[in-house]
Amino acid sequence: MTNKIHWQDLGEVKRKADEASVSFELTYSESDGSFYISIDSAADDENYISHEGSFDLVVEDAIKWLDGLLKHKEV
Amino acid sequence: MEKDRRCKNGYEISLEDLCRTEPKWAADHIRQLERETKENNMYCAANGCTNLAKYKNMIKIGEGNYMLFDLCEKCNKLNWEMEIKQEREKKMSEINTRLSLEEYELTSGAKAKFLALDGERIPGQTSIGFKGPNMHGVMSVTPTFEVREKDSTNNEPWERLQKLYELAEKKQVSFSMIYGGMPNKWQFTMNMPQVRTSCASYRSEEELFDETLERAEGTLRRLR
Repeated sequence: MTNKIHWQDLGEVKRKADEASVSFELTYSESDGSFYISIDSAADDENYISHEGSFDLVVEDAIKWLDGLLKHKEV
Repeated sequence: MEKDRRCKNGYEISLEDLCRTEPKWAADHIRQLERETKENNMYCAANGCTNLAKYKNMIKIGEGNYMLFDLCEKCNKLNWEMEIKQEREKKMSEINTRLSLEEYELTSGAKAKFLALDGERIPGQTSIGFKGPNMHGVMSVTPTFEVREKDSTNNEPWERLQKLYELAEKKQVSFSMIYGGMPNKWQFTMNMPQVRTSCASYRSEEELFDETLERAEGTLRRLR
């Protein structure tokens, strides 16, 4: 059975990525039906790769990470 | 199967247990392990590596069996790339016989070779070239779409993506959405059945979202 994906949540990731000046990639892997998100931030030479999981979980991870990055930038 | 039997370097698990039947448990468990890793300053388990571990990653240790290892960022990425490469090579061997380079006449009258699936040119394909090293040394058929956002209140783009996801799931095709570039923009990439030496890209900067996704859907439907 196909999962209903909350694609709109990607909009939130996009907005935060814009704010933090980073890019990200969402990948759906058909081999195990999971998603992952990688975020590249050239600013602090950090490359974060979330663990594979459901769409909601990886998006949640991405938003948390971006929030942390934005907070770090504010300091 | 016992879920969290501790081994020397991690936890012995089964892929099926972890990723399919209990995805939430797996995600929660991995997060807990991540916290432990950070708190305990654990070191990378890769041979010869002395970096601090930053991730837990599954490494295949037998048919259907995976073990979680503490890995540093570099080794984690290498392992991930290796898994992807192995998976792609397996699929390549299955599909390569259906892909070929065919010569077609362009509207200008010139002739050019394009990638064909079962002898028919893949719709929307506009070029054939070599993909860079970021594809882990394996060249892929990579239709790329620019996803143009209409407006923030319009759900249509996301509904189309849902349909595309369902189609990709049905056809067992992976895909990626990239938000990047200079300046940032959406790109949609399907990791279609792979070929070893060439890739085909859809360049659709002037095309509307619907049209680009229709091409993606059309290409997916052509896959058996």
